[in-house]
Amino acid sequence: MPDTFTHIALPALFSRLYRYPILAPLVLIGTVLPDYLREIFKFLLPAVFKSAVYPFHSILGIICVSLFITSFFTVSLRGRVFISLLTGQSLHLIFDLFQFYLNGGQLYLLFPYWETYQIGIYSDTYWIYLFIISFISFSVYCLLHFRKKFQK
Amino acid sequence: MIKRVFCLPRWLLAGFSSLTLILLMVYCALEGSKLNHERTKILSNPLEHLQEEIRLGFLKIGEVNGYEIMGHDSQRKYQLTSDPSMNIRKGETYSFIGMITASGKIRIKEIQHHPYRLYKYLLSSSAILIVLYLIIKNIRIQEKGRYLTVINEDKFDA
Repeated sequence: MPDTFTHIALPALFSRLYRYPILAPLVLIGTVLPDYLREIFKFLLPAVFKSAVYPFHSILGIICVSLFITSFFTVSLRGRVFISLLTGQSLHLIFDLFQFYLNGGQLYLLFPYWETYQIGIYSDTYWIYLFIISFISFSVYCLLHFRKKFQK
Repeated sequence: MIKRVFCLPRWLLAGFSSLTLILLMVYCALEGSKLNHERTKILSNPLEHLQEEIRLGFLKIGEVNGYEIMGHDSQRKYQLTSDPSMNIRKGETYSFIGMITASGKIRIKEIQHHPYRLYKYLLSSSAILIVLYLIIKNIRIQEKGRYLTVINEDKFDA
C-alpha cells in the first residue's frame, strides 16, 4: 500500500471536480478507511488471526463497510453517502493495485475468491518518494487555497 | 430497488453489513490459518518439498551471521541463506522469494526491501488529522442526536 497520507492527499487535490451525487468529504474519509480498519483490527486481534483483516481490502468488504457507516446517516442522504464512501474506498484499492510486492501482496480483491492481485507499476521500496510528491502537492494546494481565502 | 435498501431501518442495515463482515473475517482467518498450517508442514518436511519456491512477505531480520540469516514475521521464525551481494541488513524488513533446501533453510533468490517501516506508519497516522478536520468541518448530528448529516457537500475545504 502507499502510505495513508498519499491515499487521502491525492484525491483531495481533485475534490473540486467531484459532482452530484458524490459528497467530497465522505469520498476523502473513504480513501483511508481500508487501512485504518485493517490496522485497528490487527491491533485488536491476536497474531494467529492476522489474516482476518484481508476483507477490508476486497470489493465485498468495502461494500459492507460503506453500508454499515451509511446506516448512521439520515435516510435522505444514505444513497449519496454510500456511493461516496464506496468511491473513496475504491480509489484506495486502485492505488494499492498499482504497487508491487514480491510476495504478491495482500490485495484479495475478489475475496472470498482466494487470490491476490497487483498491477505492480511501482515498488513498495520507493514509497517515500510517493509520499514526498503527495505531501508537496497537498501543501501547495492548501497554501494556494488559504491565500485565495484571505485575499477575499 | 437499490434506493429502497437505504430506507430500511438502521438496525437492519447495520446488523446485516456487520454480520456479513464478521463472517468474511472468520472465513479469512480460517483460510489464513489453513495456509499457515500448510507452510509449517512444508518447512518441517523439507526433503519432500526440495527446490520448491516459497514466498515470504514482510520478514523482519533478527540476525545476520555471514550468509545465514534469521527472519521472523508475527507467527514464526525462518532460517534463510543468502548471497553476499544481496546486502541484507539486521533490523530491516524484506520480502523474499526463496527455494527450500534439504537442511530446511530457505535459499533466497529475490529480495524486496521495505525501508522506513516505522516512518511509514507514523506518516500514515498523520492522515488522521485530515480525517478529523473533515469530520469536524462537514459532519453534524441531526434529529435529536439520532442521525448524522453532511454539510459542505461539494467541497471538503469550504
